[in-house]
Amino acid sequence: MNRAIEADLLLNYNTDMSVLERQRAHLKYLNPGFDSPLAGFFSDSSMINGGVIDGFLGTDGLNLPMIYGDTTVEGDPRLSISPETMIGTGNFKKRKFDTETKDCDGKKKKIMMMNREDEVEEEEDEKSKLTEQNNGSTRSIKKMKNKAKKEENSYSSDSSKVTIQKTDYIHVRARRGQATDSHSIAERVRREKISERMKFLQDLVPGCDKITGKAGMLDEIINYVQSLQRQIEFLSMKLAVVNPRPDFDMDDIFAKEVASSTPMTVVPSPEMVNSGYSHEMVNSGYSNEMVSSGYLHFNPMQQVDTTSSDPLSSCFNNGQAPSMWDSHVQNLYGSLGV
Amino acid sequence: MVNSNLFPSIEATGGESSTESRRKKPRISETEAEIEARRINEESLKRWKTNRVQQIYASKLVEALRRVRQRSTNEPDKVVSVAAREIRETADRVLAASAKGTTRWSRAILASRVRAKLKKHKKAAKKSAGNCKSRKAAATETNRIKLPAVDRKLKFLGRLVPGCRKVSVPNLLDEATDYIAALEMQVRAMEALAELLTAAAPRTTLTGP
Repeated sequence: MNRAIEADLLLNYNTDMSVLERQRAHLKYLNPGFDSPLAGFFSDSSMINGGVIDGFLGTDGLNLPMIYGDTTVEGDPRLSISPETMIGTGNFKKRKFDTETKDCDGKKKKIMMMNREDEVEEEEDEKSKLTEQNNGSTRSIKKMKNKAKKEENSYSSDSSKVTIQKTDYIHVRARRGQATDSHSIAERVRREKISERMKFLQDLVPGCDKITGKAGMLDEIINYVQSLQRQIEFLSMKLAVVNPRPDFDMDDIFAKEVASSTPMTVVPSPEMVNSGYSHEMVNSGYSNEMVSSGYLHFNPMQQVDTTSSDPLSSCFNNGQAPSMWDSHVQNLYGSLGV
Repeated sequence: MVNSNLFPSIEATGGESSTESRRKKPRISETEAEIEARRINEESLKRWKTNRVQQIYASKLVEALRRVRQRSTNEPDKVVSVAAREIRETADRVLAASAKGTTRWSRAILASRVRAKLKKHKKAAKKSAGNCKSRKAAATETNRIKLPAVDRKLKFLGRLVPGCRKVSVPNLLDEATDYIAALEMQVRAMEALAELLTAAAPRTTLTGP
């Protein structure tokens, strides 16, 4: 039965029937009463019996098998496991893929060929591409032939349809109307990488949702980075002003904070401090002190501070050097006033 | 303890960003480089937002600042701007240390301090810096070819992110992503700290003439 269908299909190829027509004829052969639209056809893989469908594409007369043959990993074994219905759907979907590519937007266009694993994704994409098949079928066949003659391109993509079996070489089906030479494809890969990263940045930078285009987004990103850096400068100036005395007792401050505001829970995790300080590059001796003091409680901070006389009681309440702070504050206010 | 309240938006934003990155995660594998890049991107959105990172950073920052204060009390006549610069550099270093060396900008920040220290010892540093600047200015004047707008902006972004001037475009964008996330965390931490300190010391700031 396979051979007969094969012959029938060969004939169909030679006459350049549309893919849709061929499939319909084919299915009618199987199921005289079958006349449902192919959209439902795809979603219901049980309709197709793999054994028959294998013949649809397993044409040896064409160059097509070269394509399948190129993916040594699983093209042939899959084809041979005919009873699986999934294979059938996969085959059909591959045919559809050629024709629907022209409608895909830039991000979805790159298609792989040989891998059945993508059926699930393929199903989602080819819901209603029936009309294009008629138009694109002839061109798609030619494209397939072109691809079959080309050598493999190494290709990595963030498209959801790229095969995984061979990590190095993935066949790329060029979009309809796009160049198929390796330079353009490499260029497209590069552009995809960049746009993918820009998408991440878009999520990070607030207010970038409405902006399309790299230049505008880059502007926003640059502005945002500059504003963040300026904020840090300002905050560091603020911290410099609030610069307390050496016997400044953080513990007391935090205690006050705790008392005044809602109670906060201490997270005792000295091991965190250990791991954090393992990367301390400024002063390893200092970090040892920190580690030993169970730092996150902010309690033993005074241990480190050798100059503090009585950490628990003393704090900036003493107002020991208000003059220094005053001058600092006045400087700050002066600079802010500008 | 303090930090958990001072960074209240962590969980929400962390959840958001993690779901976003999960949604964007491709369903297929890629070449090794792409996997690495994607990991960096997804991680950077999440890793600078976790509570733990914030706490580590805040505690390290406090300690580093105290050290700076101790050092500056030896020379009490510092101008605010100088002190501010010191604090900012300290904060940046602590931030870079928190990055644990996986990103280029963090390594550049840490390395720059070493370079600055070396330069301090070498008196000839000033001369070389001056020469470099003049040479650079001359070069840019002569090469008046205007790059396309996008390229110009990319170059500018490379100058903003420390240590990323001659980095490829996709890597630059990766670094920028991580840098922005880290800067956001730094701003939050410093804001919280400043607020804490100013709230705890209200009287001294109000003492007038």
